[in-house]
This record gives sequence, structure tokens and C-alpha cells, in this order.
Amino acid sequence: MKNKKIIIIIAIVAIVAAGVVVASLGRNSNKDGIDNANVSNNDNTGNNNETGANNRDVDITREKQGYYFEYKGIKIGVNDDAAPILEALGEPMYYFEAPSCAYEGMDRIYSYSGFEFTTFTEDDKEYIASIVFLDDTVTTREGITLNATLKDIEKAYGSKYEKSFNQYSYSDGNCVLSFIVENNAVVSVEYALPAYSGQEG
Amino acid sequence: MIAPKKIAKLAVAALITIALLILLQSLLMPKYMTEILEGALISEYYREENKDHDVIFIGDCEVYENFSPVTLWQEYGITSFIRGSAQQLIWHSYYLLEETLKYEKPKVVVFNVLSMKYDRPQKEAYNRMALDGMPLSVTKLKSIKASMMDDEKFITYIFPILRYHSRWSELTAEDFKYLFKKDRVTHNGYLMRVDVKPLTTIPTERKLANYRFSDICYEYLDKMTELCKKNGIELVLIKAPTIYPHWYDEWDKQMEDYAEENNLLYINFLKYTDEIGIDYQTDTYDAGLHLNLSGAEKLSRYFGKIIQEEFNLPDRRNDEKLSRIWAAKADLYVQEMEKQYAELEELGYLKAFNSRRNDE
Repeated sequence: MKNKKIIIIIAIVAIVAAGVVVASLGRNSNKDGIDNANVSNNDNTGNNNETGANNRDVDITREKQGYYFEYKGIKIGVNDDAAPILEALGEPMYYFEAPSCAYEGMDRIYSYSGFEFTTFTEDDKEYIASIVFLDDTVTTREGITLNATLKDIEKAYGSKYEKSFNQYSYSDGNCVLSFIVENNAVVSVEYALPAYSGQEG
Repeated sequence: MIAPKKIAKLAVAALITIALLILLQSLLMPKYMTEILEGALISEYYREENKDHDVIFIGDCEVYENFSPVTLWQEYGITSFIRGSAQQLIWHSYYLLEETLKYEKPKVVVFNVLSMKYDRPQKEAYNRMALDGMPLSVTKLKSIKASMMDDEKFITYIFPILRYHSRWSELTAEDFKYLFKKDRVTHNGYLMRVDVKPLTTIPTERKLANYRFSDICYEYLDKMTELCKKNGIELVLIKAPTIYPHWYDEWDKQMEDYAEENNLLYINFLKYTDEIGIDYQTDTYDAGLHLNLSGAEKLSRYFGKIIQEEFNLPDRRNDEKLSRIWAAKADLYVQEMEKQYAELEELGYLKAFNSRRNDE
């Protein structure tokens, strides 16, 4: 009886192994294997949504909720589809792309007059990951520019910020708006996805 | 009482089952032979027969893309191996070093300090590339523990079949071809690329709220320093001459201070690009993030001279056995170089490095 059980177990393992071989032989050798070698794409990791890929907006003119940047009537928010925004903004002054090691992602940086934004790619589409001010010619919708003071920030956004060193951050759940203040002057304004740290490496 | 015959049958059955599971696991694990070659780097060291290296490099892409051990041999008679992997974080590097010292005692260990900027694991894929290629050992277990993301499971690193089982429906001919034996994709850890993509733009450096490297990174750097001192090894800290990710002056100062306090050599190659002869129009394959073969050879020539003089590394080119070994390595190196140039001529790109990029 026991022998029979053992034989059955071995048979099952052998059948599974044979099934794998048979199912796989018919496949071509190129593209199908690529994504699977990249373990981060596997749904077991649960990492696909680490950049907060929800609440995406494709309409660049309609009123949005939460923190977003507006430039010449074009509304740019993190996690937005980048294609219509790029089309509306036109050719960037500078463009830089940075594939990360082993091609585990790609940062694309688009620089315009006064600001730049970084995108990430998911399912062959680009989405806005972060927006950074480059000079004081651009302003947040609430009126903060580079060189503003902490008092200005508190007046515009209130005092319910998260402070880390000299960085003051406000979050609406989808976007973190951060200001770095040095000598009581804003030196950095950034809109970013909550978990975004770039693909560098 | 169970009869000896039955015990034997049980044992045979168990062995067959285990063998089948091992086979299945080998089949299901990614092979990294034709694409994402970076995943194959770590395991190559264990297949190296002659583990007698003057210099061991550890670190991320800034070592395995930017230094050529064959050039170090040909120019200075220095033997070296690069234990690099994609986005290798400092805890990966420390444990890889600890493990390497079980096989050999190099005279110099070179660590690229870019990973000081990361105080936590970034992606499971990078952990897999750093850890799956290591044989099971106490050091590997410690490295897994230090490296795991919150949503990863320790057991899946011990039995990778538990992680890769879902690949069964997506296996390709590559998985069968390299089931029992893999090709070498590197030249003593150097991942060669001959293509060129000139630097056109340097991204604006973004302000940071805090420039100080985290305690956890210093903790591992201390451990690395201590381990090298204990073993009589010279630790050299370097920052490769790549322009992105940005290397802040504040970070550079911290490394300078650390090196001074611990009597280590620290070289930020970004300060010596003219002296090295790096031309970012011809010596990089991705617009300044990594060097190509031309850039890696220039950097190796520059660095080889420094470490040979600083640490009195012998020129071993008169050693007949080593000369034979490295002549064979140099042949493979030239073959690979010619193959890549031919591919570039024919296709305009390198297949192994471009298929995923073209998918986007």
C-alpha cells in the first residue's frame, strides 16, 4: 500500500515536470522570457503599484483634486499620463533618459523653462513621477515660488506639514508637495509620488 | 518494524523526488544568458578556477561596467575580479566580500561608494541578482536577512522554486539550453559594451534635505573596513566617473573624511576625468551613466598605475601559469569585442542590451 503511495507521488512529480517541459517547448525563445527574468514584474512581488499607480488623470485641462502644478493652463500632476502633457507643452529644452542597472526601469527627465519633470514607465506608458522647480519664474497654484519664506508656505498650506531636517512636506495621499528651506528661503519645490525615489542605480 | 527493503525503497523514492524538484527549480530559475545579463554576474565567480586575485572589486554597475580586469593584467600584470551586481547595496557588498575571503585573500579590495546613498533595499529584482547566484552559506543567509524588502519571504531565497514557480508557463528555449551549463557573460566580472551614446545633457542636481549618509550605511562601511584590516587587505574607496546619479560635494566630503579617519585611499574619479582621458562623447554607452569598453580601458589604465605604485602590487606577467590563463581570457575578451562590433555594424545596436529597451 505504502509502495503504491510512493509510486503515485513520484508519478505526480514526474507528470508535473513533463508538463512544464511540454508546455514550454512550443514557445519561442525571445520576448516571452524577458519579462520573466525580470522578477520585479511578477505579480508575486506586489511591487507593481509601488509608485501609486492609481487615480490617473489623462485630461490636462479639467479641474483636479489635491496638489498639482499648473503651467500656462496645463495641469500637471504626479501619476498623470505624460503623453498629453508632453504634447501640450511641446519640445522640452532638455531631455535626459537614465535607464537603471539591468534595465529595472527608466527615468526620463523633461526640462522646460522654470521647471522639469521626471517620468516612469509602466505597461509601455509614461507617467509623471515628480515635478521640480528650477527657478522662481514658476509658482505653485497656491503662490509659492523659490525664495519664498517658511511663513509664506505656512500661510499658503497651513502648519500641518511633516518636517524632516529642513524639508517641509504636505501630502494629499497621491502627491507629496515638499519645500526645502535654507536660511528662511525656499530652495526647492517638488511634487512627487509618495514612494518615488527615482530609478537610479 | 519496517523491513530494510521498504526503507531502501522509501529512500530511493525520496531521492528521486528531491532530484526532480532540484531539476524543476533549475529549470524555472531565470538564466540571464541572452538578456538581462547582469543577473548572471554573481555566480560567475564560483566557476573561476584560479581564485588568486591581487584585487577584488565590489559594488554596483559602477564597477562591473567601468573597469576591465583584462586591461589591468595586460598593462600592469595585476590579477583582478569584479564581484559586482546591479544596484548592489552596501550590505550586499559587505557579505559578498566576507564570502569572497573564504576563497581567497586579495591584497586590495576596491569598493565603489555610490551605494552609500541607499539606506534601504530598493527592489526585489536587485536582491535576486545579488543573492540567487551565491551558494548556500551562513554568509548568504545573513545577506538575505539584511537585504529583504518587507514583502519578500526568506524561504524563497533558500528554495527559489517557491518564488519562480509561476514561470512554468513562460519558459523559453533559453531555460532548457542553459539548464545544466551556463555560458560566461563577463570577463572576470567585467560586462563589456562597445556601443557609444554621447553625453548631451547633464541633469540639474536636485536639492536634498539631508546630505548625511545614513547610520546603517556607515555601519556596513565600518564592518568592511574592519574586515579588510583584520585580513591585512588594503581597502580602496572609489567613486566612478559617471555623471548620473549625481554625486554631491557633501557626499564627497563625507567619504574624504571617512577615508582620512580610517587611513584609506579614496579616489573620486569625477575629479580626474581629463587626466584619465575620458571623453563623454565616445567613452560612454548611455550618455554618461556608464562607460563603454573604450572608457573602461582608459579608467583601468589610470587606476592600475595608482594601485600598483601605492600598494606595491607585483607585475605577474612573468608567471607562466598566470600568463597562460590570462592569455586565454584575453582571447575571449577580443572575441567578444569583435562580436559586438560586428553586431553593431549589422544591426546598429547590441541585441543582449537593447531588446527590452526597444519594447518601451
